[in-house]
Amino acid sequence: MRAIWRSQTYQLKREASIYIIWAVLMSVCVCIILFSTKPWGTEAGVTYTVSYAWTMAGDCQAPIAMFFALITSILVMGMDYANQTINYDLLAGYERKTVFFGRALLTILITVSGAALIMLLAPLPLAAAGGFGDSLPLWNYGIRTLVFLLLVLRITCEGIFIMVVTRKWTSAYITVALLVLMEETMDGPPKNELIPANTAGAALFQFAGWSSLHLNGEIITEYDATLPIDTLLLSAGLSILMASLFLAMAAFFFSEDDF
Amino acid sequence: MITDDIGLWAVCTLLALLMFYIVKTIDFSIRLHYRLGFAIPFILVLWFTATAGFEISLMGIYTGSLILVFCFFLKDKKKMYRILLAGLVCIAITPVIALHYKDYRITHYTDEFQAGFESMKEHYILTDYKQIDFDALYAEYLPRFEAADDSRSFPQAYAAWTDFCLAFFDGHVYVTAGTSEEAIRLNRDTYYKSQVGADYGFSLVTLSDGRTVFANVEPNGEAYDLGIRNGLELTSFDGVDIQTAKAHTKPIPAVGDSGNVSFYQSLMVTASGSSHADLTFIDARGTEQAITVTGTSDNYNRYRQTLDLLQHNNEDTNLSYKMISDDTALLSLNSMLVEGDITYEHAEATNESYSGMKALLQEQLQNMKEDGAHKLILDMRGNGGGYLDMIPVIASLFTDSEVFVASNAAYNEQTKRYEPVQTVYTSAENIWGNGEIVILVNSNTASAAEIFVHTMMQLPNVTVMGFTKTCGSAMMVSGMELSNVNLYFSGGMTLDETGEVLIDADASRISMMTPDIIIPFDEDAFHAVFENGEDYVLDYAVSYLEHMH
Amino acid sequence: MDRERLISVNNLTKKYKFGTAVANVTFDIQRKHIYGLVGPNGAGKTTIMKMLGGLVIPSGGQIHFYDGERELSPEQARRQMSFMIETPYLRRDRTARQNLEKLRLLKNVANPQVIDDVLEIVGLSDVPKNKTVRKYSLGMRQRLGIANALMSHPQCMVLDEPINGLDPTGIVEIRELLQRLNRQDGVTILISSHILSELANLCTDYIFLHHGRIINSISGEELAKVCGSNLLINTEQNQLAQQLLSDQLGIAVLKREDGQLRIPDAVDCKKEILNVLVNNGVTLLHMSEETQDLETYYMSLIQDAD
Repeated sequence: MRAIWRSQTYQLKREASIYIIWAVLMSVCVCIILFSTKPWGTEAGVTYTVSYAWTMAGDCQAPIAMFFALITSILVMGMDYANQTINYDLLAGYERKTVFFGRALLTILITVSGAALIMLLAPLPLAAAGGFGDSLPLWNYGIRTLVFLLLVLRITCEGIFIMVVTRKWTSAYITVALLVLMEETMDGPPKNELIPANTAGAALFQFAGWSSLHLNGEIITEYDATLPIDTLLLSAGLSILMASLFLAMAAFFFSEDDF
Repeated sequence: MITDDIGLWAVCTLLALLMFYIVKTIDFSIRLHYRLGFAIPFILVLWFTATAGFEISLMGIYTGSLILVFCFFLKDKKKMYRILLAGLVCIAITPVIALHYKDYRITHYTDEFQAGFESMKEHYILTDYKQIDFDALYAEYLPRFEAADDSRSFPQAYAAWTDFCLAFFDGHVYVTAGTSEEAIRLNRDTYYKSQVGADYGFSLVTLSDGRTVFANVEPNGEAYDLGIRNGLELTSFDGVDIQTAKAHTKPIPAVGDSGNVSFYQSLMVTASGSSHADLTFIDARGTEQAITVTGTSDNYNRYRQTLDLLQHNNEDTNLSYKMISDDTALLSLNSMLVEGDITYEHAEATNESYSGMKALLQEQLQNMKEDGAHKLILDMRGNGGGYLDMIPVIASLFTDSEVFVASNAAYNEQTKRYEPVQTVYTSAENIWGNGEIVILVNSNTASAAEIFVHTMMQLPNVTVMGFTKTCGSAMMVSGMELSNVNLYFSGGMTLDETGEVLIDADASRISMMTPDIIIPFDEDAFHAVFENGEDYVLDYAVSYLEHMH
Repeated sequence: MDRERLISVNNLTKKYKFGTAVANVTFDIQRKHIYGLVGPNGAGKTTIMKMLGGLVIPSGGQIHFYDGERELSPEQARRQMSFMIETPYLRRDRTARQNLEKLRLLKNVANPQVIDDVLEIVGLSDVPKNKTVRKYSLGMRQRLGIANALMSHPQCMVLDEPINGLDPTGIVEIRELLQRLNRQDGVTILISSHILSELANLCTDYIFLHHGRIINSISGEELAKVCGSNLLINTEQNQLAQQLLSDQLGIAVLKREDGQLRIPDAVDCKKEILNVLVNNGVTLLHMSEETQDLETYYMSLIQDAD
């Protein structure tokens, strides 16, 4: 597997599209954070701190990181399918399983680290404006992000599965678009938020918030930031289950497929 | 919903059976993608669980569909049959388990109430002022939520919440349920329909002399045939004299001030909902009659009609005006939110914000004056409030000096009092001049709207009038999202210029702000409203202004 | 036990949705031979090579790989083999060296110098270093594919139409390269092609394929024997001649496209044939011995099969 890893890394290091996608999504995320918190205002009741941006993660960083995961997993796993150079991986005398897991693990590594970077780095520009603040302690955000990364793992495995089954980038992305549309047409918010990926991300960053509307129109929100242990555990468990299922199905498919 | 669960079970069982046939006929080595079909029940189950919620007694369906997925990995058809059988058995036995499971689709209305209650007890700002006994309320209402859980009925839980909120006598304490405007309205209407009783063919209103009379009588209905007409006095209902009957009604639709409550109380007298009711009334010749009337379906439509006639909420376009005489303009101000204006910016809430709305109002006032108006009627009936910082913006167009609007307050631990932290005043930009202004209010004029009225009342040329006081809730609203409902209540203290609570009623249930003129709902008003369909309050205001100069 | 046997294919079958691509194919690959896999488009040559390479999973049958007397697992064996199937798979937006570097890492070839070496062997070392493969001609890409196949110094090479797209000089170069590899380095080679004339100069053994089945497999020497014994005649009444020869001598006469008759394996029967024709008044225009080439042999095989 090391040879597969090395040859893929050699190729991916020079692949501009991955960097570009990450950079674009990262900038979008930073812009959203900046425009939501408006650090250029001069106002009492400062909300443009890094920890405030952490409380917004469910609406802002999380969906973007998940989007990044979905796109990149298909991109990286599907590299070499279009021009058929993937055939060399098989002709070189490696078991199908080895080839699959070599590529899949690399995909997972790239997606999860990219997502983690988005989650951690995107709020940082606010440090210059308002500092870190105390809306949310770092360990709280850290643990939620870790569980979130398991969710990213699940999405990556789903992307890997889609790519291995459809074998063409266009079909893979069309399938993804259809799935996302399907989720959007669901009637109202789902009762169980942990199952569809989009709401699962937001669910991890929900805080029992206490808002009051004050005379000058300011909305002051105090957060009850205790970790919802059962949500986190359920989310982690479900993510691991789905990730393993999809990965196993993708591995089987890859092993039995004709190239 | 149990029908959805049954549907899922049926579909999964059928799919599993179908798979037996598929495994028998298809050669999976020809095309690998055929195997993906085994994942279909699992995907369906996932989708369903996401929308309908997880239910542990359906574990058979969950595991069964997962077992079916394992056929994907098999190459030997015999093994596939065995796995399919295992999956099918798991799915098939689920109803047996679910039916015997006592907590099937259990609801958590009690937990939700406890969560909301705890929060409210901690954060409700007027607890001492209104002398709210939270523990007593808890003891009274908890059983209702437990009953709602037992019957798994959301309407029951919603009704329990609404009744709980009514006990606070605060227009800012309420719940909404639903994710869309329609859903919210639907839940609310369902509640009202369950409260307003049966339709006996008439409504009841109270006149200013204390008599309770029939109104909105159904022409040619049973009650009409028995001699009931608009304006005749009712003396007892269902064996109880009318004063006692009124005292036992729920404070619907008004709640912030006891005077407002008694104005509408008679509407709810017929709420018993029984199919027959005995009543006594004074007929056209002056004799007391006793009759029995039949109740049909629900009273909601008649109730709403009567209420609308009484309240006459302003429905015109916000900030539009018309000249109702050569020198009098009627301006609609039925919301303290303006569509399309810049969305709220919490930065400098100066007169620079809401510039669009301010410009529009300035323009309207200029146009009015060009049209020759030097008297203004501001119709604020039905204005439910909105953004508070709109108030100085609008009021400034009428004020010559800095007039007090309201103070934000914080609790001082040392003095054990609420003390002003931030006070808002109008500026002095009067473009209206000194012309007489009459403001029309009703019990729906609430929150930011009544604070605006309070500000304007300090001007010498302003007269406020209406059948009732305004709503009586001027505190800052806080909200919390619970699982099934959103709970709102007064969470921030607002003070008047003397440092006392602004407008809201204290334990006496009498609100602090009374309009300059409470128009008596006498027989003339009754005839104008219910016989002639006129806007009596507006006509009163017009003739008041004519008599001014 | 055959110590020279490298690959043994038994009853290999591949079924697709539209039909059977390869049906019950059985053959052996011996060390140090050059095998020619002959067949028209759609005969199943590429499918068999893909199955040898592990790209396609057989529907039935087995492939066994051997090293002396010991059987190897397919993965172990393929590590010692190299393949060039269909058109060479290349990343068009990268240069030749980048493509080869990636494949070098994949095959675990330790020495980075090998890239320059193979490029020189196939004649691509003069190409500018930063030219992307998109700008390569078909022949250059083909050479690059062969270069890739050479990189790992394989024991066995499986090449699918390697001279497709090459100019005449290229064809000769590659042929000489393959011959050198086979004779000097003992590399076993399996080539498929339908430019039969080229195969004739190169292969030691032939396997003929048609509609997914092997219709014949024959060594080079045997082929030479068979190919030299045909009789070619042209008469004024070819139709009648065909009839007479088949009735009276019981020999199957084949008609070529140009109307002449070919009588296979008939060099020894010249006298009898002449007699029959003359006695029946068929005027003979031309008679010669045909040194049948691979192509005609093949065409005859196909016609027999049909």
